[in-house]
This record gives sequence, structure tokens and C-alpha cells, in this order.
Amino acid sequence: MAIERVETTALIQIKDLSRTYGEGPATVHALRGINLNIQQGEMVALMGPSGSGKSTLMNVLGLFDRATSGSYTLGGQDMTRLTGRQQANLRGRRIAFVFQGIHLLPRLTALSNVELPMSYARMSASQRKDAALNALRLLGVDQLKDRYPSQMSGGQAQRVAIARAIAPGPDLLLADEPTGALDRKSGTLVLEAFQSLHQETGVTIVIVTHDPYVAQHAERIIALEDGQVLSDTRVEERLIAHHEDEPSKGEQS
Amino acid sequence: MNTFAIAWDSIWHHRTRSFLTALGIIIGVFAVVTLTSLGSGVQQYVNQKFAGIGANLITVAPALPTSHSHSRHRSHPVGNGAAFQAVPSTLTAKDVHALDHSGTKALRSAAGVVTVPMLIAKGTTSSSAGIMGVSYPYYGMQRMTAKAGSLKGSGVVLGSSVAHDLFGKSSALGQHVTIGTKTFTVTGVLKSVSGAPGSDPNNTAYLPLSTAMALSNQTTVSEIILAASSAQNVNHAVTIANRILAKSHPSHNYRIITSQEILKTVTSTTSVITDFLAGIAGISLLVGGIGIMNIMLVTVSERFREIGIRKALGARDGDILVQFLTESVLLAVIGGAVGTILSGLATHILGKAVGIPAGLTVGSVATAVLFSIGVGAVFGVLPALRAARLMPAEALRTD
Repeated sequence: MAIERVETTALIQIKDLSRTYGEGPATVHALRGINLNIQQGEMVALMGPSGSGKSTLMNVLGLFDRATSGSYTLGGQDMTRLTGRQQANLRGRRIAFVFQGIHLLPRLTALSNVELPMSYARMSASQRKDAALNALRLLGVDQLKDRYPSQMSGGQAQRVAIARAIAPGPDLLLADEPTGALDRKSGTLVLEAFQSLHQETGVTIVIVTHDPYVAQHAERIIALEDGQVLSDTRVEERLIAHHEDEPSKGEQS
Repeated sequence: MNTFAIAWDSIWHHRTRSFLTALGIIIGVFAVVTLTSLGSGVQQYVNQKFAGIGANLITVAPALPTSHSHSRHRSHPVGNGAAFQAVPSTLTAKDVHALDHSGTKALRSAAGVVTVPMLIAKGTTSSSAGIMGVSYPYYGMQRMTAKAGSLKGSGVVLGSSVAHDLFGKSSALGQHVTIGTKTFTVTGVLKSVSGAPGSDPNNTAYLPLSTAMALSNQTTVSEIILAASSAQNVNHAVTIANRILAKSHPSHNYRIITSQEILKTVTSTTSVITDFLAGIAGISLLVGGIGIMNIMLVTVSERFREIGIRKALGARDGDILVQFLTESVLLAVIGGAVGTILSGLATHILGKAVGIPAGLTVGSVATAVLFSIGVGAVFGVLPALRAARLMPAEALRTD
């Protein structure tokens, strides 16, 4: 992995990335030549109306989908040539997800839910439990560890879901409309949780949203339209200082 | 949470549905195991019966000639005694004598048998008993012993139920009975014996062979029973018997049947029937398997979301495959276990009622276990593969 990391330290490098569905005249161009670099430790919002290609880009970033052409490297590693099994090995460990709905497994406790990606990673029971409790504490929901999802509020459940994503120590946290199912107040709490998580651990976060309010919580907003990057802007100076202070942080695996 | 616990949790969560699904397997395994157990019970019963008669016995019966054509035999059935037989007898008292005095160790003794188509009566009381003429070694071969009198006398020997029918509790010995038109003295009474299926030695009266032949005006015997010195020597004894009979029967108009052959025929017949029935029962197992496949497909589509989440959290295709296969196999094995237990009860009760040694055998239990694992695995593969191949993005989009 380190051998290929000569050009830059960008965590994510995307070059001329295209994704089409179908063939001939019915071809749908979901992504038309995206070029994008995301640095280690950035907190980015990926914005755009539905049909803009943001979900497709998120699926490609999360190894849920493959690009038709172009390149995608994560931490210097080419992601376009991975086998299904290699993809699965990265998912949940180096790339973690927080989804729109409350995607906790209903018949597992908070703690078991948070341990799940680490048990798929074949980590030992004690390591799993330690990491899970740490993550729950980090999100301020460790007192909920023995509760089932049905015994939590929406905001609590989403914070448990973020704890689950963060527990294995991923390089990249992808969040797809993470506040979509929440009211504004709980949504704000969840967004603040993302921000403090970002400050404390320096994990790279990409939030996909159509909501400008949500996007305002990121450092950088990349707007997509019709499968292309429309704009790429920095939000404020207040958080940027953070990752420049610690340029080499991250890369925990 | 391990795979087994996840599978059990899912089965338990849908108890009613799981029970109904397992019911297909319960019925299928029950049918297969019960039929194979009963089949092997019948077989054991037959084996025991044959061992009781004596595996060392050989029957020489008349047959159509194999080397020369003797057409007169076909068109002229001989007299009274042979009337029940499709083939007229050609075996004589001389043959019996020659075989009984073979001078070899392997062929220990021979006994002639004739059937006398007459009734036995005491005064006006008649009996339903059959009359047979036998030479003395016959009693030993059939393990018959005297309860009173002797078996070597010149009079009639009565089977236990014949004696009871004609004389009640009073002693039959020395009394007179009429067979056909002649009067005989009872010189022996047999102890009650259990005989081969299809004949009742207790309800038979026995005359000395020559007396019986003269009485019924027969010149030939119905069949000759040979006793080999042991079951291992049967083939050797057959060779000797063939050599002796070849002199008086150059056309080879007889056939030799060993009890091994009869046993083999009966065994192969019962096993064909058992296999056939088990095959039909197997169809219900197949139907049960389809039930499992159906419910697993439902389970998979109900759990699209769960599968998507698990895959997003790093579950490999194999993890998902194993998870769903475990569930279908567990379901089938539970069904198989319940079916086997029920079958054990049923065969035990049935075996007791019918009087055959039926019960669960190691073989039938092993068959049931393998069958149910196989059914669960085979019919679980398709749904499990469908689950495993689900793209996480698709699975999570179904909000």
C-alpha cells in the first residue's frame, strides 16, 4: 500500500470516474467523469438533488458499486480491482457506514450491534467488547449498552449506529442522510456527535445529504449535479485548522 | 452471537411458521423411518423363523425334466396325492432310502413326505387336521418330540391340537382313529411346536411314509427333506444328493431348494417392498424440503434489510450463506429429530401389536439424520445463495 502513495497524501483520489447503467440509447449516465481528492481527516458534505449522482458516488466510495471507468484509490490502494471478498473485508473495517434509517439489528442489544462488524472481522471477544464500549462512551451512549433498539429514541439509536461504525477504527466514515429519519433537534445532536467525533479521532467523514442545514456542519461542501461536480467550497475556517495541525493522523489499520 | 444462535433465534422468533415448516420434515422422516424399521423388523422375523426350521434343511421337489422332454408327465397328472401340485411327482421311496443312506457325513439324513388327502376322525367326531406321511427322520429335522408314546410306532402320531380336538384332555395314546376307511391306533402325541409360516404342524396327523403311501394309493412322494450336517455343509450335501439322484433321474426331473434360497427370495422380496414404500415415503420428505425452501425464500426477502446491514458491516458472502444454510439445516434437523422420536414410538407399538421385532435401528436413525441434514442443505442452498449474492446497496434501498 505504501509503495503507491508517492504522489500525494490524499486519502481518497478519484480520477475521471464514470458510472453508467444500461446500454445503447437507454444508457443512464449517473456519474460523468468525477475528479475529486479528499484529504485524510477532512469532514466533507456531498450535496445535490436526487438524481445528481451523489448516491451513486457514495455507493462507489463504499464499495457497494463499481465504477464503469476511471480510478478510485483509498489510502493509495486501488479500489476498482478488488474481488467481492476483498471488498467485504474492507467494508465495516476501513470503510464504515451510517445509514439514513435506523439500521440497528432489532434483536441485538446496543453492545452486540456495535460488536457486529468486529465479529465479522474475526476479532477476539474481549477486544471486541473493549472497542465497542469505548465507541459507545465516545458517543455518550454507553449507558444504553444493554438496551434493544426498540427501547431507544431515534437520536440515541443513530448515535449507537455511529458508535458501531467508528468502533473498528475505520479510515473513512460514510454517512448517507444520517439525520433523514430524525427531527431537527435530534438531528442536530447527531451532527454535533459527528463533529466532536471528527475532532477527537480525526476520522475522515463524508456525509451525503440534500439538506443545506446538514451540509453546514461539514468543513467542505462538494455539490453534484447531473453526475458532475458543480462546486467544491470550504465552509468556514474554524475547523480546517484542526486537520492541518495533525496532517498525519488517521490511518489506524 | 454465533451462527447457530442467530439461526435458533430466527427459528424461535417465528415459532408457528417454523413448526409448520418442520412438520413437513417430521411427516417425511416419520414415514421413511417407520417403513424402513418395520421392513427390517419383518425381515428379522422371517430370518428367525427360518433359523427355527433349520438352515441346514434342503428340499427336493419334483420338477419338469430339464434335459429330456417327457411330454406324458405334462398331460397326465398322477393320482390323488399329487393333485395339488402343478408338476407330477417322480420321487420315490427308493430315492428317499438312497439319500438317507448316502454314507457321507455332509448329507446326514433324508425324509420322504407325502400328503394324504383324507380326513381323520374318532367315531363321528372329525377333525380339520391335515394328514401327512413322513419317514422317521422328519421329526428330528422339524424338531418335533413326543409328549406321549413314541414317534417310531406303526400307528398314527397326532399333533398337539389334533389330539386335543379329538380326545380333549383324556389320553389319546392307544385309542383308535379312522383315516379314510381304515382304522389306526394312536402310537404317539407330539409336543406343541411353532412352525414355519403357512403350515401348522400341531394340526396335522402323521403316518409312517409307507403306510401313508399304501393308504392313499401313491407310488411317489411329494417331496424329500434332506438334513445337511450343518448350515455350512448345505452346498456339499446338495452336490451329494445330485450325484445320488442322477442315477435314478437322468432327465433331472427334480429340483433342489435350500432354505438359504427360500430365505434369499423372501428377503429380496421384503426388501424390494420396503424400498418401494420408503421411496414413496421419501416423496413426502421431498415435499417437506420444498416447504423449507419456500419458507427460507420468504425469510430471505423479509430480511433484505438485515442482510444489507450485515454486508455493510463487513459480512462476506460466505458469512451470509452459512447463516441461512445453518437456519435451514437446523430447521430440517429439528423436524428430523421429532419425526424419528415419533417413529420410534410408532414402530415400538406396532411391533408389539403385530408381534415382530420392530424398533428404531441404528441404520434407520442414521438414515433419518442424514436425510434431514441433506434436505435442509439442498433446499436451503438456493435461498441462502440468493441472500449471499444480494448487493448491500440494493438490500438497503428497500426503505
